Amino acid sequence: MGAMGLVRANIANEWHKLWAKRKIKFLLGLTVLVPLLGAFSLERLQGAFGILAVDGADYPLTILGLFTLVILPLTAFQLATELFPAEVAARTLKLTLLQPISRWNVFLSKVLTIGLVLAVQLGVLWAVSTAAGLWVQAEGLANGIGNGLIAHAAAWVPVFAVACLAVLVVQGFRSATGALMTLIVLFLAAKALPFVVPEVAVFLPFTYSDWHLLWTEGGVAFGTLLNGFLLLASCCIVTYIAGYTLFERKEV
Amino acid sequence: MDAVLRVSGLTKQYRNGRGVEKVSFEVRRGDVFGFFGPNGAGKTTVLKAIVGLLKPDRGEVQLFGQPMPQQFEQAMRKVGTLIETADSFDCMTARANLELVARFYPELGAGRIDEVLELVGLAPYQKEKVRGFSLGMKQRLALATTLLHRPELVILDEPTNGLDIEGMVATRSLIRRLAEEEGMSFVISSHMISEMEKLCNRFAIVRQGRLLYEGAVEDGMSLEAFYLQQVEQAKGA
Repeated sequence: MGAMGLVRANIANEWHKLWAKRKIKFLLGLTVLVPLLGAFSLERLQGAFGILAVDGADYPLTILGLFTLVILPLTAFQLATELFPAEVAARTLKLTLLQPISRWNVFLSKVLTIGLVLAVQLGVLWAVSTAAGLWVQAEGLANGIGNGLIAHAAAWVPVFAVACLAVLVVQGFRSATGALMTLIVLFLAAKALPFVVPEVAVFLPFTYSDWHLLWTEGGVAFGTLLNGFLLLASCCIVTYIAGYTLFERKEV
Repeated sequence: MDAVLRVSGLTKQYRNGRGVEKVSFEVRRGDVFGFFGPNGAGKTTVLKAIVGLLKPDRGEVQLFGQPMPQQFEQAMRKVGTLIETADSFDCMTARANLELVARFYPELGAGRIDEVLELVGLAPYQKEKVRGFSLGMKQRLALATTLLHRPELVILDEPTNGLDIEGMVATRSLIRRLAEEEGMSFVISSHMISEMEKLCNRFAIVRQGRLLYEGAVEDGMSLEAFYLQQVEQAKGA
């Protein structure tokens, strides 16, 4: 079995392991529930006050903004914690490390699984929030579908960069709770940092939670989009390599 | 007879000063090799270093002539391991735990999982989640994952831990049958003299991180007496 076959096999394994745990089902359930509840509430409120705060076309982007700000980073933290320190604590990481798959391929497949779960979550979010947008206001929704799809696809890049950073951070932990708490504290600190040291903010993937909007607004220079993409891609590469270096030295 | 496992000068020191020093031994094809010593002697440290769960400070390991960890993926395809504790994914069923292993061996036939579950007596419980299993059942599941891909070398660290008398007898006879009928080689680490004596043809005796002896027990001597003799000789040296 070649390297790609081993990586594919372990991605399938990681997916099955995550699916067997309630936490991930809860997070995906939230992805379905939040847009539906939001649409219901908005439709009621807009009907009661007779104003159109959010129309059907904008609704998916509004919900996406909420998700990229809070829920997707938390999902990334949960995934990084489950696939690394939680397995160390449960003594199940060794079960994977004893299979005929190198540590490089184990690490790669775990990170790719996180990326895949986030992509699925964004895909489900787009589908559900677009459908829920019909409830808010069907008029104009068709025009927003393409924009919504592009925005959700673009949103994957910064959230994956956040996930890679989270994977690096959790390598220093043998406890899932400690790792998750630390990530949340770091997240809050990173959100506050631009107010204190604005120059550093551009290098943090947390700063790009609304980067997807640049892809839907007209008139944004290609250079600006490319610059942002390269910064995020660099973050992914650097944190991936650093995370792997720590993972490779881990004794279980 | 060719060596399936060769360990040369293996050294690993932990921060607390414990570990193993210059451990060298060889396991030949067909051996049921006993790795014997008291608790804390360094047996698990050596086994973990062999299968790459930790990096030794010095020394070399070869599995089937292939250096570890450079040829890890190729070498480990022929090895089944049960190290330290019989761990498994508690939130998954017994069958699903075996499927995790089977994905790395697409050449295994569809019925192999059923076969192995029957072998270890877990077929009636295959759809139950492992969190509901007793220690003995978890040990048997761990044994099943070790044997699933028909390895040429099986490394077992305290394989009868947590098993009742019937379980121990069943495990011993399974090991004996696999060694005789399927030609599997075994490395079995244990502190239980009686288990080792009934199973193994060759031994390495480890004490306080050092290898005292490697080979067969002298004719007419019990393993216990032989071990005590080796300890006395080491003290006198």
